[in-house]
Amino acid sequence: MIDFIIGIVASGIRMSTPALFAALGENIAERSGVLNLGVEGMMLIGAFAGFIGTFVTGNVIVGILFAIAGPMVMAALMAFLSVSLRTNQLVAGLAIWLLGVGLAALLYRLTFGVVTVAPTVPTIPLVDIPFLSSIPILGPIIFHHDAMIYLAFLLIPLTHIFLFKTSIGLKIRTVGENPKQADTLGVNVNKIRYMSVIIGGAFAGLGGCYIALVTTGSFSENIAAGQGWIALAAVIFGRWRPFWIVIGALVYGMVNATALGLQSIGTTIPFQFLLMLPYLLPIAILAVMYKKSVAPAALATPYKRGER
Amino acid sequence: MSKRSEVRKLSGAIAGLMVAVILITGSSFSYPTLQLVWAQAQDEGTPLKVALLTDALFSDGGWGATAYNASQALKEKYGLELTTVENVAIPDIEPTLRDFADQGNNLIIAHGFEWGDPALRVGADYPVTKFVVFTGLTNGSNVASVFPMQQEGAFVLGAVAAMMSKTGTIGFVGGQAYPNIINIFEGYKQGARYINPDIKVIGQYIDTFTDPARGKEAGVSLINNGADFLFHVADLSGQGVIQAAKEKGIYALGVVADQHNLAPDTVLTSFVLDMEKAFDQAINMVQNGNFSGQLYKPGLEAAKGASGDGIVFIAPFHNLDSKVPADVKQKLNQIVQDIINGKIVVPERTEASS
Repeated sequence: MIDFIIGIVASGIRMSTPALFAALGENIAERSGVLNLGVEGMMLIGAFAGFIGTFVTGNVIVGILFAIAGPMVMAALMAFLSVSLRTNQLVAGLAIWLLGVGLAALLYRLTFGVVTVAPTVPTIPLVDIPFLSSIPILGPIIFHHDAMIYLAFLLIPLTHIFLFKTSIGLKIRTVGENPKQADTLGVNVNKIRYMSVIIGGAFAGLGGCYIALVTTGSFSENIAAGQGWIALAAVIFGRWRPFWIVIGALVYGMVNATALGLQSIGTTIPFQFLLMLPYLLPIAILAVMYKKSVAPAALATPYKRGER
Repeated sequence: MSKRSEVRKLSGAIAGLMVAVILITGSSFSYPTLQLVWAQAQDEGTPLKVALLTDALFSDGGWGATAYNASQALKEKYGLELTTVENVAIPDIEPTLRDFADQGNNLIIAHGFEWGDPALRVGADYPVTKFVVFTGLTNGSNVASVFPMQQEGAFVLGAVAAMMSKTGTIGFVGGQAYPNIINIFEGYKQGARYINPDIKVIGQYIDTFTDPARGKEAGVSLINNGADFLFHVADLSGQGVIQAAKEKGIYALGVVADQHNLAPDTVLTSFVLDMEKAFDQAINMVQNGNFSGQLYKPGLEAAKGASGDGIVFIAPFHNLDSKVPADVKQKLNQIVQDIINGKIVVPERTEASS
């Protein structure tokens, strides 16, 4: 029984990691006042870029760098649309999403054509943390993973420190709450927003390439399978605070893993119901939490100097 | 009255008559007949127009890929005018069928169980166009379905898994609980229990054919619960299942195509659908004008290209041949022969049992 639960929790952590990466980055973008709905598209570009980088060079580090760079370009485009051109951020975000879906699929087809055997790369292996991984229960749950999960663990406090303990973090939050005031104080609003959105893109890329380089070792169309949207929900769930966002992402992963685990031991609950839970639960929680959530005041509002 | 007005009257009457004639002949000359005349005109010398439509991807390494390859081979063989469309969204199935019927295709191969009912509806409006639904269960005057006895192939795989399992637990992962997929898993269970009545068969439906990440976690979950064989019927998601087996060092069983190439040290064997043979027969019927809207149920054959109607066969072990004990191979061949001869009957079950 205990092994069964350990299995589910470890699987839940793995399943929440892509969304966790993306959510931590999206939080930074949203904190600066830019709602980027294009996360899912950026994850797909990240998955493709990470895969192709690893496939061509045979070096997974290069692959990950590709996966960070590709979505950063997409994010720069998002920032250009929403910050410089001041278009409606919802529309721009949806456009970026669809662009990512189509572009990743197109580039994959252009590179490999219609292949009946999908090209693969070796997946990033598991690394047991010495000593810690032999702790009973906690060891196999937390310290028996691949290197990218440890990176995700590391980024949780780092994004918190970045946002709340550094002067640049303060600038980001001020721009997201009251861009006019920030501008008066000599903060370059547009520059901060560009930077935040592009950092968000890099994180989305990490989330995307986790799927391609750790989980599957291959790329396929729509491989992100909606996890970018889960990331957006996790940000709201976490009320724009990194440590709470982690819980949002974990809820999704854990419920998912539990649904799979219950099927494995044989249950009379219809599988359709179990598979709906990971999506139903966040909606239910969001509905309850929504009133309490405090979004950055200037979220999704373009800033124009001299306008009231 | 002048002569001139009489002429005008006469020409008016003639014009009226012509309109009447056109209306009468036009109404009796209904659209399908026009289509028939046109289709017959097409028959003379022009290549057969065939469309392969599917909601799967051609790059899935199995279900979609095999259909694509089969259609390309037949295009060459018959000089077809072939169109292939993949990734059709489920709600777009009916409009897509309608589009391709409109474009004057002689044969539309609708690839997937979920195309069955829409094909019937569209088929009623386009009586001249022929529809073949692969793994469908519906048929009409111009709609035929090919429902391969996949449970027979799965029975053999279940038997192999049961003979070679060390833990006494084997697993499967399905993309959707479609009747044809339930049928496959029922066959797998029956085959395993034929060898070992006490074997534990555990399974997962993951509600997606295109999410290898979820497929992998489903596989890991089954392995955590003791499975040391994973059989998947989940297209792209199934590649994740195979990946899980590969990382955990157990065997996987492939489906529809010989999936050995996906993971040479992991995929022990697969049951394969010879779609080329099935599509070939469909094209042949259309070309010879003896199309019959039946529900065809081709079964197991000894190997690819064996004589008979079967289109389901078991792939070779390739480089894993030495890992399979001789008695297992012997028993496997025996089971295949028994199924072909009818000594073992694997009933078709489209509803899940325990």
